[in-house]
Amino acid sequence: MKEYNWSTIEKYFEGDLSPSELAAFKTLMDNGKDFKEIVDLYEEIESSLTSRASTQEEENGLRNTLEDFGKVYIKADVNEKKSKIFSLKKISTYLVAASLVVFASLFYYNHSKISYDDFANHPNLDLVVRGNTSEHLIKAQDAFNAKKYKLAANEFQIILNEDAAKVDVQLYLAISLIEQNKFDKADGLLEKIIDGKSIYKNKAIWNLALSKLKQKKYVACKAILTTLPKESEDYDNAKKIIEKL
Amino acid sequence: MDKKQHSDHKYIIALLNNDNRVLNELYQKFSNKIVRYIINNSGNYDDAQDVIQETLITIYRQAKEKKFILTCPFEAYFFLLCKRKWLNKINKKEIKKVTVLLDIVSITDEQEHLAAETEIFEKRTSLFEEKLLELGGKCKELLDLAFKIKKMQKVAEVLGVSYGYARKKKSECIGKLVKMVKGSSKFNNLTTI
Repeated sequence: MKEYNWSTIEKYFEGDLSPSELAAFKTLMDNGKDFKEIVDLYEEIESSLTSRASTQEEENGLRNTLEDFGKVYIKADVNEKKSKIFSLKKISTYLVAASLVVFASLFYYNHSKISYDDFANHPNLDLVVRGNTSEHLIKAQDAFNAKKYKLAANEFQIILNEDAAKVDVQLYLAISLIEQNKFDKADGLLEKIIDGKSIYKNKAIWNLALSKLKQKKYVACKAILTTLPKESEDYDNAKKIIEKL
Repeated sequence: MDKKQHSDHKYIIALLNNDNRVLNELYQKFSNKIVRYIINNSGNYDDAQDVIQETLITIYRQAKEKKFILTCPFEAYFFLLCKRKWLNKINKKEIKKVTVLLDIVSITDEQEHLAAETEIFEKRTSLFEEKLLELGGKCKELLDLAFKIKKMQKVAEVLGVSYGYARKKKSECIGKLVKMVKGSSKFNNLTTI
């Protein structure tokens, strides 16, 4: 390839060429297709790599958001499929029992105060993703799914000590703490998530309300539930609690 | 050419602004078909998640660097990009289009064109990055600083050299990159549309 005067090309983009140099440069561009191509490529490479370097932080922020949505929508899809298979297989066996439970619950519902246990149905966690072999994450997930919340909380805490920014882990730690009646720390964690911009915000609002319900702080519970947006998956349950309270 | 922005351009703006509400809508509306497509073509949920995320990052980069304007509905454009990314990964380029597009709205020339533009953007910028890595040494060090700090006066101060020298070196290093990119066999197939 021909040698070019790169310094002149740089000066052209910086606007540092004298009027006569600029005129000569433009003539070269007009008359030489190859030269114009080189100048365009120079500009493209510089602007592309500059943009990449200067937006790295912003791009990482977007990546975190997309990863969170991926976990919610794509991983959630796996869970949904599992539960569908489960319900189809077991439906005949449990149909009668289930309807009895529904009648019993309705009866009980109308005659008692609403309670935390009615709504704290924590779905199984599926946090261990490909390539992530964190021993603590596996232990935390297994313990949480087995409802061993003390052990789960310890493991979640260890993970957060290594990386305090993991919002999903903060959320599950908070739930594990509510289960152990350690409300102050749980509520603090949830409030922090609610103040942030993560996609776990609605889950944090819902669980903070459940925490207040468990503490029998009914006014606070109701007030928090009213802030839950309509698109939240817990919105219908929130409405039920508000009506009862 | 004057490009008319489609109302779905809101998804591009959401990527630029990291807007949770609209990105939530994007995943809710569009991820399902792509997941099904990848699962039906030898992939799994992790693959689907990777492909969707990397495609969205490419669109974000194109919007950031090239002020990309979406002139057609997002769904088909996004699906095409994810599909091709997945096919490139599994090296099954010969899968028939008709089986692929059964459950999606028809693909117009404009959507094909926009998707091709985004793909070429991605390949060109990846080639630039690849060559920057290959460049290595003092040149890479200087360019990394220049691209990050932008002001050459500051770059010169950091490197302890004169402004004139830093600027001359920067132009020579980009020149080397230009030659490496232009000399690459990949580059010939990556002309802009």
